[in-house]
Amino acid sequence: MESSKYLDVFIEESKENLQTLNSTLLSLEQDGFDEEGMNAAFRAMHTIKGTAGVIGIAPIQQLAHVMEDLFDDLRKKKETPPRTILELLFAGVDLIESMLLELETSGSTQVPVIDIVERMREAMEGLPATAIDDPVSEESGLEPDQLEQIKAMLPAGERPVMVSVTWSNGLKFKEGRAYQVIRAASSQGTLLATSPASEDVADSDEGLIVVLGTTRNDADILGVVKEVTGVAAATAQTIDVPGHPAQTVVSAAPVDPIEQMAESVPLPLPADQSQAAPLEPLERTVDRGAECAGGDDHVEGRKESRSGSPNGSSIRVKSKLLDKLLDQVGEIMINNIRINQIATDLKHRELKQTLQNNSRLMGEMQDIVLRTRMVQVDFIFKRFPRIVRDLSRDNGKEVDFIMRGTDIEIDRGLLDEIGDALVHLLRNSLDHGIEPAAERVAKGKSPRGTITLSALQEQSNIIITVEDDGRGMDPGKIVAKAVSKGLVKAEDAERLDDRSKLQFVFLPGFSTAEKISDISGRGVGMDVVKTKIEELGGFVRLDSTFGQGCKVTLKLPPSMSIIRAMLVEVNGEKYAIPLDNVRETVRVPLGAVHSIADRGVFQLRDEVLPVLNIRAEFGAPAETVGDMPAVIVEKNDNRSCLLVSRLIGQQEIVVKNLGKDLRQTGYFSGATILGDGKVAMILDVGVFT
Amino acid sequence: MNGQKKALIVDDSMVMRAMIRDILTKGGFDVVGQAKNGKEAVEQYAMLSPDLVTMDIIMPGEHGTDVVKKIVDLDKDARIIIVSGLSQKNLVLQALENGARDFLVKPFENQELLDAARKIAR
Repeated sequence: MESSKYLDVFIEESKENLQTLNSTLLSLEQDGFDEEGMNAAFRAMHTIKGTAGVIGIAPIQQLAHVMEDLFDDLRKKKETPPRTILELLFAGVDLIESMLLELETSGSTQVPVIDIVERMREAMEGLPATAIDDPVSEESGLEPDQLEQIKAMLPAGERPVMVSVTWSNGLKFKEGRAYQVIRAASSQGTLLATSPASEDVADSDEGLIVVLGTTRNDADILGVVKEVTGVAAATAQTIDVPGHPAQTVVSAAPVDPIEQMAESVPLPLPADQSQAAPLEPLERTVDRGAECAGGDDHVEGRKESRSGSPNGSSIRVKSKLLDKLLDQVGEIMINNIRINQIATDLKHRELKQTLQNNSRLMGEMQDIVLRTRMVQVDFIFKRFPRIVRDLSRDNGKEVDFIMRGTDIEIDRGLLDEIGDALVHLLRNSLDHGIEPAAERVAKGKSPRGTITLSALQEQSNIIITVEDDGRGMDPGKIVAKAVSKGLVKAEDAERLDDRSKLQFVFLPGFSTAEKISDISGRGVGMDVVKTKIEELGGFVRLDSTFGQGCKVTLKLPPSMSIIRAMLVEVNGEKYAIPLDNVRETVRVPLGAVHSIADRGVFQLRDEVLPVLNIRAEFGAPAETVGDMPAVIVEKNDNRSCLLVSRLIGQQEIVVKNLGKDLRQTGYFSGATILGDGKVAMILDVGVFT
Repeated sequence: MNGQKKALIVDDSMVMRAMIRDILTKGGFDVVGQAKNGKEAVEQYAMLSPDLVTMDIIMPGEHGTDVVKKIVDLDKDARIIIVSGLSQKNLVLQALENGARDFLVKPFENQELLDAARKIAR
């Protein structure tokens, strides 16, 4: 089967299924058996196996197959599996994950799975017998008087016909095909008997024999039987049933086959045929099916009601397409502003009104597009419990991991970007924050540490915090390190308050870990987190009380691509300042700007702010008289006062990324296109504060 | 009418939906709907009255077996092919009993699906 183009989808889908498996295994380990969870895990494994098979990724299919069997076994037993099996399942999930990774990068995977498959098979054999026996094996033969029944059942005027079917080579699931043959044959008359019994069809190399009472001719019967997939050949012959009045044709066939059929069990029949074959085993077979399906139904029903039926109609869309759509909507809005400008110039009232309607509609459209990009943070949060579990085991630390606000929605693009940063923060907490149990007890803390990951919405921003109750950060130690690394002079450092001292951890190359750990490594850390979050237009805040714990707060904009901004003009060019960074606007009398250590400062109420004349910064001669409009900007708790030529107003802007050259100037975080078609650079406030 | 047979694909796996869709489309079917659970399947069946349905067995929510029953209750002449793994034999039998016309066992060849689809479709 042509498969390469489905590989991406397969990888994406399987990753999601692995998430389900991971969370099931975790809750299995922590809270014990949960039927609903086990069913979900079984389904996830089943899908991975099936699709891997279809696409032709044998190692994943093999491993998933044995894992599916294991899950199936476990869910039937309704018991929490022993630790050895849990570890095997965890290892299996990890192995599939690494195979997916390999597929993603190289398009194929050669990971050997025989070893783990063997171990799983052995583990399964070691499990006590399943509580529910395989229903198929319960079935036995027919009543001894079946032959009499068959004779009695043959309706007047019908002749008994034996239809013999041979199967094609290598046919899968013969029972199903046998069912279809029997159903097809039954449509041509009254079903009297079949051979072999249903459970033997699969193993039997022989074909299938169906005995019918019928008034139709052989060609009609064979016609419908041969329609069934897997039927290589079929023959029909009239047989001899002694003493039956309807018998009109003498056949060469011996009577023996019917005697043999006393051993046989008919397969389940379609509902409308069931009265025609009142054989006891038939009913049992039907019951078995109903039990089987009904049992699972019950579970599904519960799940549905508990989760409030989350499966509304939805479709999957490539996030790239949504990015593009958002871009296009942005472009259209920009065009609209431009047309609006033209209408104003033309003084065309009707056109203006129509455009206003358009603007409103486009605003709504933009809203919708933005909403389609939103996913719950759980989308990536759900992989963290597993990471924390593994790390705490490796570290020998006991940790309770709490997640809050997992239903908060965030732009998918942003979420993808912050995943690694969050993993890093969690690792920091585990590696450096949480103390070993003995140390905690000595400090009067509970032996188990707690790490809390929470998300919440604050106005339009998303706040994500990672908090632990570990040893916290020692400002003295951080400063000493910063001084020894030459990041700050000792005398300057002394003047800083504790919170400012903590900020050194954000500098590139800073690490307080006393030994190299394979978890957090050394040298990369908070600076990477900070850079990433700021790139996304957010900011990072660090709070720590030495001895009591540490809290890192990430504040993120609602979306990467559309922000509210203050537009200003400097030297005839327009610039945008993200509104999140704007605290207020004021007019600054230039006479009130004083100079301290070569820097202009301005006193606003009781605060002294550094003043930056962007005009001068961008090359124009600086004025010294009169007053100038100014924007008070704020970033990471630092404020400064930017002097500009003119304040234009607030507006939503679509952020476009910059090429490498412009990024390197350091002044700009991006650009946007304004209503007049001109480009406005977005000022990176961090540079000026 | 262009004479193309209308098909509805029911499968919770995006991969399977995409593959079946491509095979059927190449084989001349008009894939008019795709559903990822029983609820959607029944809704879409009622709306689209397709000439052919491919139905996965193991899905979140209702099993394919029950979905077959619901669809057959709607339309006695419904043409449903079950697509299943080898391990769901009992469920496949149940689905056939509930009115499915044919079944396929994964992994299957493109031609197997098309043969079955052409044989079964209205």
